[in-house]
Amino acid sequence: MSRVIVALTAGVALLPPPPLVAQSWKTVTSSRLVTTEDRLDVSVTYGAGVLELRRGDEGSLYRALFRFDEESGLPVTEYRDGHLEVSMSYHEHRRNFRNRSDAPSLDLQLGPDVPADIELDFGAGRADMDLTGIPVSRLELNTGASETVLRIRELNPEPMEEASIGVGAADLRVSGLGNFNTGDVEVKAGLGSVVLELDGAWAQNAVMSVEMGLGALEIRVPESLGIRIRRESRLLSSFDAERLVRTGNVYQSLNWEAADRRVEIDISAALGSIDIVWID
Amino acid sequence: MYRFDHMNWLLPVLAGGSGVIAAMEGVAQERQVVSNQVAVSRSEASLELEFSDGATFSMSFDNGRVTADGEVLGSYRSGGAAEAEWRALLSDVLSLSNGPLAEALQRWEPDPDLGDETDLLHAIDGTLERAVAGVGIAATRSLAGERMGELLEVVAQSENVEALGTALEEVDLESLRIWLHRDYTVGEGTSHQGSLLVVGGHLDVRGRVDGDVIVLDGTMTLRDDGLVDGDVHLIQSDIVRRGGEIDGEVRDVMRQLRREENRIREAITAEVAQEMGRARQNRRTSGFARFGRALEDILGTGITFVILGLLTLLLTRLSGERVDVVTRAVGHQPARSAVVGFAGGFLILPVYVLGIVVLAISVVGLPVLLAWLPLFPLAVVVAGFAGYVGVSQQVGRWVLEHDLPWLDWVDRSRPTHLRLLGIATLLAPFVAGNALQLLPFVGWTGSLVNAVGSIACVAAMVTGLGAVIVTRGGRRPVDYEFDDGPYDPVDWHEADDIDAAADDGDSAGGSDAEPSEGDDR
Repeated sequence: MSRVIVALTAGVALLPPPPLVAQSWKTVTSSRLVTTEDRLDVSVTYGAGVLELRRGDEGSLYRALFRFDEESGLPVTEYRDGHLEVSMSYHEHRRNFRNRSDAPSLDLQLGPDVPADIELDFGAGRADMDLTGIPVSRLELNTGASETVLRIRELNPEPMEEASIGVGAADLRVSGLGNFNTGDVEVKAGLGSVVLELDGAWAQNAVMSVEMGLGALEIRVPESLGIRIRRESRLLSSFDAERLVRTGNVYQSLNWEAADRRVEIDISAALGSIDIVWID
Repeated sequence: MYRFDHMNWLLPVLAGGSGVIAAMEGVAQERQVVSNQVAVSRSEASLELEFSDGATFSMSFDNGRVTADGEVLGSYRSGGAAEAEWRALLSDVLSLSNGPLAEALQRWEPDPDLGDETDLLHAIDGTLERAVAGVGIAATRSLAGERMGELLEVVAQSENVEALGTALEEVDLESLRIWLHRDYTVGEGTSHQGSLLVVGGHLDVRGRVDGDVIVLDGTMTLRDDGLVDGDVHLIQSDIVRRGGEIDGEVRDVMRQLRREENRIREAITAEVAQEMGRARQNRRTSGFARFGRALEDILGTGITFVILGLLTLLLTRLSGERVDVVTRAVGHQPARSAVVGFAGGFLILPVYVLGIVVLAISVVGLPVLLAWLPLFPLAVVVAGFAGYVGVSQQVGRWVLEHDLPWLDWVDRSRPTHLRLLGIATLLAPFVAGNALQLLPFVGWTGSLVNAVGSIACVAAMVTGLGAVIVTRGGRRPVDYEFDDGPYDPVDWHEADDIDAAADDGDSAGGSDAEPSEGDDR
């Protein structure tokens, strides 16, 4: 029976792909200047494709550049009274993109003048988010099956209330967590590989909560930062606690008392590996 | 080359200055384009604008019709000249906003020789100009351009572009006045409103300057009653003070730049050192490094197998029947062996320490202590390895029971074959785990497989150690247990017939009986 299933699976895999329907690409650019806004609520919902988020020009509130198949997608850029909604709805379910040029894309820029509360839901594909220079007052990021990079290379000019990152089945890399300018970071990951880099300016001490389902978690810690990790005991998760002193289920860095900035990390991992890597 | 390298940051200064100049001249923009949207596809090319006064404007080429704010302006040929001109315009304004966008729309003029679509394009041109009317741009540009022209002339003639740019960054450009290759005197009892830039000339301050002063390739004299209500920036210039007062600072811009260069150089050096450190760190996690590391681990596992194999051959040769006894104990009493081994593992260290204490406090024990110290750990290691080999033999036998065709070459009657096969089987998870770590997304499962391999190895050693303890080092075979099935008496008459037939067969062609496992040693 199993041989039959294997043979059938192999047969299906070797079948030629169905003929492709010609795509009709459409490009839509929307932008708006800052007028009277003192705060911006941004809601981005992007199902599949390539998403880029970065800082826009001074004086600009936002700029969104969609590239998509007009037969299947409909972009939405709605702004009203400080609320910006950016999304792409699909007429058909096109989720399998053969390569990047074949995939729809959204290039979103947020201006540096107005503090933004960002809620971003990203489905499948590749997301590259560089929030450097954008005053982010709150961040909520949810990704599905994607390869996501999130970074802030300079200290966020706006204190961030909280940063919440939810990952479904994905590769996620977050760099410059110290530049987020927040005391509260929450990361929930279901399946995949997560790399959290705690580099950056760290304007305040912080508490991080990391929940991992199944996969590998790597936390990269600058040597100057004091960390204390509380690890909830779970079966079948390995923990590489290099240069940490263990007391029960709490692991503390040697420089904890002397460090200028400290981060407390709660880690809960069901199955997989947790690595702490020290960086210069 | 030097100049062009430093023009990039100077231009924003000039542009910033032009903006301020525009504000000073009172040419405020009455309207702004606060929002715009450009959509381009095969069948559509449209532009939507929203102004600061709440008005909106839209123009669209869509399926052969041109509409402006919903009203039809005319028809166009798909792929014709009008559509090409419109798409080219949209392409030009795609990245623009507000003033520059309005300016581009105002300045746009269609090619006059476009045949029957010329009228349509003129109608579009007129509509666009009306739509963006009131967004003042031209006046701003001309006033700013005049001052920018002077500044650019200075830049073009100076060898110290970078220094000039640095000085201009800190100067009030709104009120800047420029003297190019001319001397200038602020007369006694008079005042100059605004900042001064003197290039290639002499500045004589006898009165008051309400602003900053920049002297480039020139000289400056400050007299008794002279006063500068700001900073003085000197670029390749000297100042002669004969009294007077400077409210701000006197800055030697060249020296300031050199200090800044040194600081940047040091920062770059530190950054490079840091990056090199990171690169070393990242080498561990890069794709090639991961591949190399996995390959290294697999090779290490292979070497481990070779070493364990050689030790197994040595043990087989030296131990006589003892390993066989241990192997049988593992096979017949695996649970007991495991429990004993587990308990024995815990007792090893206390026994070792207790032995040391007892031998140390007894006078006659001292010579024995010298042997105890190295030999006890060695005996434990040998016992653990002998047990591991015993378990390996059982594992090898178990593998062969699956009749795997690619293991036909393994002789199940030879214990060494079984032992080596068992060791290979126990090491196989490490090879599989290292190979899995090369795969994207599921690389972490390699760690799990490695963990499973480690657990299996520890279990094998513990069970084997238990078997060694139970058999007293292989000297006392464990009692065999027989099945408790129903008694099935042998029919001896039938057995005699079989024996007779067997004897006939022997005399004809020899025996088919298989040798025992120990026969090959």
